[in-house]
Amino acid sequence: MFHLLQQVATKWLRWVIPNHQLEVIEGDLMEALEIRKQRIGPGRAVVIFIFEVLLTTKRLALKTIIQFYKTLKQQRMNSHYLKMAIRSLRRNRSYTIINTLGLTLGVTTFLVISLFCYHQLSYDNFHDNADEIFRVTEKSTIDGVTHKFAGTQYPLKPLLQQNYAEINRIARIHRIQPRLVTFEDKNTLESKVLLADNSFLELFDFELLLGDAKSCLDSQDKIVITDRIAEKLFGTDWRNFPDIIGTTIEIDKKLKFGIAGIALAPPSNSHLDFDILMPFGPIYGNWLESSWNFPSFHTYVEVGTNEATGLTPDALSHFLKDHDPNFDRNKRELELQPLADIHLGSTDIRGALKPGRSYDQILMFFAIAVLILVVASTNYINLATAQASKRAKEVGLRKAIGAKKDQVMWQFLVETSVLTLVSLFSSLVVAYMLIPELNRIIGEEVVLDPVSELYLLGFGLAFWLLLSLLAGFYPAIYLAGYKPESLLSSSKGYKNVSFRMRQVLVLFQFMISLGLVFGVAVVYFQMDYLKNKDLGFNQSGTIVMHGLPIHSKNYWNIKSALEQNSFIEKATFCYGELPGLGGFNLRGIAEGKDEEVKFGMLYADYDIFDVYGFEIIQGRGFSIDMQTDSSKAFVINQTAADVFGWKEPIGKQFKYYGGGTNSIAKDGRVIGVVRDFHHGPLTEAVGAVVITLPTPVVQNFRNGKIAARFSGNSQRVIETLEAQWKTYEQSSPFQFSFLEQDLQRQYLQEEKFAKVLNYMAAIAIMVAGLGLYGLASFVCNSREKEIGIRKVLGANVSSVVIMISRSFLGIILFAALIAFPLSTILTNQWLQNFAYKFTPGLQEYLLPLAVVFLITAISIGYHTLKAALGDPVNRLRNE
Amino acid sequence: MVGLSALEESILLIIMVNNGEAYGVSVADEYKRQLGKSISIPSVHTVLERLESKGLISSSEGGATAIRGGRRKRLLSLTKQGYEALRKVNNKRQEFWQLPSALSYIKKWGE
Repeated sequence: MFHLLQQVATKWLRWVIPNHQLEVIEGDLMEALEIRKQRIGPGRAVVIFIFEVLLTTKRLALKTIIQFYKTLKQQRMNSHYLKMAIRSLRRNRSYTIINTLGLTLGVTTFLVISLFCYHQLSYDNFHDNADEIFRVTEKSTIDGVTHKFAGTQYPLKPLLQQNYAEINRIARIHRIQPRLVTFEDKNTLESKVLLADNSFLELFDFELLLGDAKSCLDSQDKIVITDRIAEKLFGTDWRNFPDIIGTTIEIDKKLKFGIAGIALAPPSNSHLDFDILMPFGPIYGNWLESSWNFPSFHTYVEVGTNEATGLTPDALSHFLKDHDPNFDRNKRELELQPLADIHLGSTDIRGALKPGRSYDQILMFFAIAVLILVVASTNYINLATAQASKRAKEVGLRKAIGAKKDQVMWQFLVETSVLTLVSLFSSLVVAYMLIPELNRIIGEEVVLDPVSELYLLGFGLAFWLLLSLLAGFYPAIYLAGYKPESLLSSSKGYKNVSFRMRQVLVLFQFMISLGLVFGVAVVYFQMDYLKNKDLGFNQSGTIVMHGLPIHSKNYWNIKSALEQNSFIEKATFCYGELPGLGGFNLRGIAEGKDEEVKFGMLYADYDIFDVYGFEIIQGRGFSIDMQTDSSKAFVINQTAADVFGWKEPIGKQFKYYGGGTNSIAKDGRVIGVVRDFHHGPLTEAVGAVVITLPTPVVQNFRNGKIAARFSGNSQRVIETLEAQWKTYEQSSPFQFSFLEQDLQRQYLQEEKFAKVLNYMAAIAIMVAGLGLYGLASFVCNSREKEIGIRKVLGANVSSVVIMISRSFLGIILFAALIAFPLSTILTNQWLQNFAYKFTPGLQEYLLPLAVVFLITAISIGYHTLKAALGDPVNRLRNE
Repeated sequence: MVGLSALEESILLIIMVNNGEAYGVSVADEYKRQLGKSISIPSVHTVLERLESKGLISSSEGGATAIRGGRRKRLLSLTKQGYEALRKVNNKRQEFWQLPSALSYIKKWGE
């Protein structure tokens, strides 16, 4: 591999560097390479070698361009080339339009996708000290399987500070469930609530509009809100609200805080997103200080660069061994993850605050954007060389009266660059209009602002030159290479010279189009599968109400009031997430099994089986008449029975630890088994699930949900439920969702991905179609006489159509042969993300073929039919 | 007088002490050894080309070795102009160091 790269680089060097300099330069580079190979290994040595070769050639390339420009200036030819270019573009209007359209489409896509990629790469870079900030993550390797976690323990912060002097600042944050925020008579349920250390706003550069970053969370009664919340509570002119700092607001109607700061809401390219910052104490109390069972705190450190550092990966990996009392059980190690790496480099880390993307995904998007750009340039090359017959006489004449080869070449390059400049400007306008739409689809805030970002202009200039070269270089060489005598003497000399080249280019375009449509098809089938897969419970007709603790008397009142309605079948309580949306995992001890077991916990009340339609296949569900059910009964799923190693699960003893503690939360027996259902998203395989009634501890938490099965008009249901809710519960607003929609929302990231991919594939096909349209017109023109003669000799319309389209169809099939295996490999990689996949069949191969055939038929149809239907006399008369 | 950048001066000095023996790779190596910073071969080539065009160094073809894949070296030596340019820069510097205000610093913080 490395050897091959080395050879390619050497070839490139030999091709670019003039002969008289080559020997010395190549010798020096080779010698340096051989020395480095021994010192740092062949891999890195070759990489540096390639880098050095590129550096060498860059210098010469620049020189050549400057030289070119100087010659031009001397000859005062600039304006002449420009004039000729504009004349010839105006003369061939349809050709110019097709090319501009194609290039504009290609460049727009490239531009928009590049901006998106840039935005993704810019995540968290806006902090001044971004390169000095790291997130502390945990890693554990059990049975050879490595798990990484973004969350760490609360007491880690003081320990790290004591042990490592090079840590300048350190801050913990912890995200909590949605909270009700109240000011006077205004209530709002806010979901982006972070608990944070006082150092948080100093460590990060989130802008504080009011208040002092050093002290705004330094006592337990202070709170920071963003301008979004300020607007909700105090109106749009909150800045004029007297003494807003110090104003008391309430959380959950019981905790009182004074506003100590108002922050600007974090930008969209921040992985930390919050609307409210609160201290830890009021929510959790003092027990956190010594809790080593609650690894849900994200710890960030700022490491100074000037001091000698003892903060080595090695030291960190041993850190918890010396400090964590639970080390023997969980064997966790610490690692540092650079801040800028969090958004794209956390695919293997659990517990993210904001769903990230991956470098692979960004790379793939960019690769597709480049491919589309290449397809657009290919179009240009195709059409420009196809035009050769029209331009041949011109070139011949120019040469005959003394034009040199490079002058002719230059003329065509200028022509290309005029065209690319027009396309560049129009795509800037189109992109400007498209970006809001893109932001809506992907939920980011990508911006295009060429005026304020001056570097974009420089980038644009470079891009313009590059694109002009990419599209114009080959046609220019090709056209300038004609021998004048052959051009002027006969009209046959030039024909079909580059026909094979064009076929290869068309093949290449088809390959890309087919590959992209194939990808779209696979993604579409998979999404369709996810949406329609039987999850093992009722998805539709379930409404979910949020934010009511089960301990509240209101719960049972509301529940019975709900069930009085004729349109409500049953209602049930669920703690945390609902089944289907992924719950939380706990550790437990199963009878007859030595080691601890892990399982998904589902706290619900008696009616969960009716509401969800879980099928009980052994034993029974919970019953309100059985006294012991509330404290000693478990229902498990089939997988749990397998995992726990039980052949006869009914009556087996089971106990589990409470979340974040080492004490047994409940000890009881299994009373029933339900058929497996998908407790989590379909990216995960079905795991062990235990269903039980909530313990007193759990009942105290607010994040309960009520799921109710209803029938009939959903609008009426919502109105009735809201009215009933309000009569029983005044302290929290009526918040609802539909289970079916909640389930769909899990695949939002994939859905967005699929949409963007759809657009890109559509554009790639459109561009290729434009190219085919132009090419077909050329083919028909150049075979005009042949078609005329065939028709005179008795060929009918269909045989002529078949004759012309045959060559295109052959190319499509050949392209499919190459494109399908490649894209199958790539899409399989994507499908690895899902534990459950659609069954692949012929459909995903036939669909792209059909689409491409259709587009081809449309593109070449017009000219082909015109050629086939035309009167042969008109074609043969002129000689 | 010819102006010299810091990089040019260092490379010129390296060529001076290895007169007639220095070539691209050896200059880069020596640069790393003496100044502690690494420099890429193409950057060395750029500087050498510039120095040669200014007439500060001259080159002759040297022998080929196996490690270079049989390619010849370009051996570099200082020209008279090169030598003068270096002297001038050095003299100028010495003049500065002889000034009383510089001497007071030497007194304060040592040589």
